[in-house]
Amino acid sequence: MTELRELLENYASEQLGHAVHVTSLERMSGGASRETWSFVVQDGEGERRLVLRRDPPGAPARSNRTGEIDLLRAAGAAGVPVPVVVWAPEGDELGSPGFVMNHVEGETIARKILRDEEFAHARTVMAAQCGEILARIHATPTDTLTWLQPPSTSPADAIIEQHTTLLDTIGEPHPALELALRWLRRNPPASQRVTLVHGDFRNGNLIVGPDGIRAVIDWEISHIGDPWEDLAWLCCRSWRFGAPGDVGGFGDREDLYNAYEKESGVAVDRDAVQWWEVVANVKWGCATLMQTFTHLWGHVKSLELAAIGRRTVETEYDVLELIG
Amino acid sequence: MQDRPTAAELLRAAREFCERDLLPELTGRRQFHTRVLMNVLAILEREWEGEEQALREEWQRLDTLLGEAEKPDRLADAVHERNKELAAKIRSGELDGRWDETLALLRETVRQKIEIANPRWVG
Repeated sequence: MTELRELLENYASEQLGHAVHVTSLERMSGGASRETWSFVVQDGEGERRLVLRRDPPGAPARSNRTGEIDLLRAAGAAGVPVPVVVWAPEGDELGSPGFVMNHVEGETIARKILRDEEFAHARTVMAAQCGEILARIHATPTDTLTWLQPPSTSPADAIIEQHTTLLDTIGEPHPALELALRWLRRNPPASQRVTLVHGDFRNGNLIVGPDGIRAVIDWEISHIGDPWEDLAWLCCRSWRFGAPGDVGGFGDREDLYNAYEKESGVAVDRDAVQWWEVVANVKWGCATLMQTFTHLWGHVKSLELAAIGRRTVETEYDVLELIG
Repeated sequence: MQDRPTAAELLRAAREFCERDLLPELTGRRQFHTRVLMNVLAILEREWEGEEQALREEWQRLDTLLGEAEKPDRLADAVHERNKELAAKIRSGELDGRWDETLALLRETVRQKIEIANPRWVG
């Protein structure tokens, strides 16, 4: 950690053109696959709170750093609340590929957002806010984001192929997930759209204040796809963290759908959202597999990654409920 | 055969140590990771006692759906191989005509797994 503090101090001093101190360096909790650090830059003019996002040093798969930065800027321009990218070092100046954003004050921890009195009002408005924000994400122009390629087949076919391949890569049999994929193949959704998709829009990736959502973060798996994927992901049971609302534990589907329709002018296809909710469970199930095998294959040793492999069964349970 | 404490009893002792002695001393990420550790120990404690029985039941179900097969020595390996067979047959569409039976088998298997991994997820 001292090493990171020094790296940040050197880099910040260089960027600002004068010597600074870096204090209060703290790893933020949650997030097994990437590191998020909060820190303060102090100089003669005062203090500034910033946030570093970087790959775990030594991890084999390098994230698409420049893409994520361009995406944050494009989404911001389209009216989506996002942090502002402040510094984007080219190489490993910060120990591994990463970038620095301004600190947005608020909470990301689902347990607190869903249970603390401080967020009681926020919980009543968040589902509608999600609808509005998602509509804007899906309306974000992607022509400048040249690295984002639409799938060569339909988003529905692409997502089935992607997860079939993932299961093969893992090599462990998961017949429940195979049954879900088979269901997806046999019951294609009636409607399809192709837009920018956030890919991980849920509690944990929303910075929330007493007034509601202040910023959407963690755009690392954004892609061109079917926007119903985002609504379905948000309604997936795994993201309710034990709280009663269908939408992220905090809200009602109708609030989400109505706000989405109002902002986008597009009617929500409920059957398609249901189809993508089956996808959401397969997707999270495969993600838990990939995370645990990242540990088992020796790439990143972590108790948290090891333990998450025993959560795949939750998605299997939910998916069998959905298709049964 | 090993002496007392049993494996399950040792796992329990380890988990209780975490709760009593470690957790109160820790904050932030270390506390979070200690909770993860406690959860892992609880999973292992539940799994240890019931594993043999669960495997035998799963073998029976797979025999019923896929036809009887020769059982090699180690039950865990045998069940693992048959699950690969099941996964492949589902993917190929070969079991489409026996959808409800396949669903029922998987529901039971998943129920057994989740009782060990996270019993609170059900209901």
